[in-house]
Amino acid sequence: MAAISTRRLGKELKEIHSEGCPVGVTLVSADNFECWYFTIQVMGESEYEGEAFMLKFRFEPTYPIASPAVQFVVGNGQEAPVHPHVYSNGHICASILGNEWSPVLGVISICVTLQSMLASCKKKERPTDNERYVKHAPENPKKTRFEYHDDDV
Amino acid sequence: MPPDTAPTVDDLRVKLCYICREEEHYDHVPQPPHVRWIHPCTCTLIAHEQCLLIWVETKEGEQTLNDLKCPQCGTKYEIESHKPLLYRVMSSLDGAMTFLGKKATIVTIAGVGGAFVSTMYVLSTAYGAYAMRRLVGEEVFNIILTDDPINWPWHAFLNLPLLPLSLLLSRTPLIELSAFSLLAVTWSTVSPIDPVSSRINDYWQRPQHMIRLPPFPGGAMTSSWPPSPFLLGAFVLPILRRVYIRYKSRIERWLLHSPTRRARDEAEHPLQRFEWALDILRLGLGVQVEAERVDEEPLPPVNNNDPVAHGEGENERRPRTVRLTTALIGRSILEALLIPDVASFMGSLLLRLSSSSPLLRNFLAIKPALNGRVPLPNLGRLSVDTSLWQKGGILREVGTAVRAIVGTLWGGSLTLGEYDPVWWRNAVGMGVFVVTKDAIQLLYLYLSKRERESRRIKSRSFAGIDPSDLDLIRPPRFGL
Repeated sequence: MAAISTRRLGKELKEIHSEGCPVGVTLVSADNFECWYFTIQVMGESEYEGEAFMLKFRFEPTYPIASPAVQFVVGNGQEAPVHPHVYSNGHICASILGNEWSPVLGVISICVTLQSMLASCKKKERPTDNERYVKHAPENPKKTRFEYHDDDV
Repeated sequence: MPPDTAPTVDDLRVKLCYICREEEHYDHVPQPPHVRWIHPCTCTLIAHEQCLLIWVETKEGEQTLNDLKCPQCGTKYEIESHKPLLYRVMSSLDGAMTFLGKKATIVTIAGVGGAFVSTMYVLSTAYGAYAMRRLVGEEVFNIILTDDPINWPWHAFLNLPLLPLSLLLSRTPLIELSAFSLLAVTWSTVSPIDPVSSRINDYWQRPQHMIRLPPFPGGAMTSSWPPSPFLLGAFVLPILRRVYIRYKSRIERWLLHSPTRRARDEAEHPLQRFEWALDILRLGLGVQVEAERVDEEPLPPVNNNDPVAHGEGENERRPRTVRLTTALIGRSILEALLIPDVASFMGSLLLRLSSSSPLLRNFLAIKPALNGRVPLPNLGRLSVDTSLWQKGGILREVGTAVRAIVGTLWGGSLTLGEYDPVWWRNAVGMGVFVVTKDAIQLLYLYLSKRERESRRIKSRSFAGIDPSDLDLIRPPRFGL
């Protein structure tokens, strides 16, 4: 199973190098096929103007059949964006990272989706159950079973 | 291309699998071109059939196969496979067992969580006593244990509550000893505890009385057949179990990993999907994954195209990630706690069968019930030896003692020897049951493997899509 994820990630990386990332997305590091870092910024007018956030992608050997584990980096000068779907430990409640994941998606499409998730935010606030969740959250966000309350954000 | 037919996946100039993102140019087809390309929906996404099938498998369980949709256009994939009637019956039974397993887990968790430790102790002791009764039969149960806990020997209070636990443990690969072995070793040397039998037993065990016993009270056969519970539990069963498991996993490997056309396809496209799916299936059936045994004795690769051995030098085996679902745990618990009942049922089945076969009757050493009559203790060998006891030197005395002990272990304990050996036919019955069950499971695994191998995802034409949106080898010429 390892071969398929390696080859697929190799293709994605080649595409990033040849075609570049979309506006506001920057590749920070992709030294291996297990863990990649990106920064994302929201372009144009938004609640997050001037802010940049770092994203951490972790891949299992079953990628792209299984979704990658994606979270915002917290610590070392990085903060998770204040957003109703982002917990203060960096975990993200987004259906495309869970039950709506499909192999047609990829690293770049996740970055773009998260960018637009931030862009469409009307009010900067933490999820209502933030404290309770962060207290008991597993290290890997894929081990959490999120309930996707509202699809419109 | 005739003008009235829509283009198909074979007419594309460049094929790009939406899952693995591999490309294939129409004039650069890799040799040999065994990978099948599929256009399963109504949008422009296409994929390798192998990649799609892997994805299908991961979705299995979450939803039925026929509900699988294209992530982009939402069209349902049509999957065809070979499902003989026997397979359909078996898989619906499997589903029913999984459902029961879920319920059993809830009941067990509720039981463990809701009950205090002392209640748990009482419950497991009661279950242990019940299991003993089923395994050794009513008659012997009344001699060595009786219904009244006042009569129980002290070790019964340790031993009986541990019984359900040891039955559960015997379903895991953790311990080598089967639950029956544990039982047999502890209980084979006990003395009768109901007052009458124990008084008589004591009387005959005194040397001066022992000499008067006839050498072989029940004839030669009774003292050497069936083997004593101790012998069976401590030596015969563990050895048999080892041998059986080894050969079973060999047969399993041979049957389930035979090189097929599909397996050779995977040599070019090494995805090892069977290994993976079958592990999950095996676990689902509660079949132990005998990982360390496989390592102990690596089988030679089945053939040179074996994808495991030659998949692009990718020799490491996929880590066995065990997904223990609630249903699986419940199934194991359910199956473990039913062992005494199954053994008892199989034993009585053998008893009924034996009425028409003298051979089976002898093998099972069936005797009529004694109906409360207390038998002479079975001291055959011992009594012969005691006459020699007085004469002879130290060496001979030691020899006599060893022979006496071995004789007792082989010929059965003082207590159990004369009774109808219900425990023996239950043990044999359980063995027959296990072998039958494994054979059925293996058949089911085999049929499942065939079903997986035969899966085909229906490929559609690009009807309904504007041909100018497609990168075709021969673009349609408009206006002609």
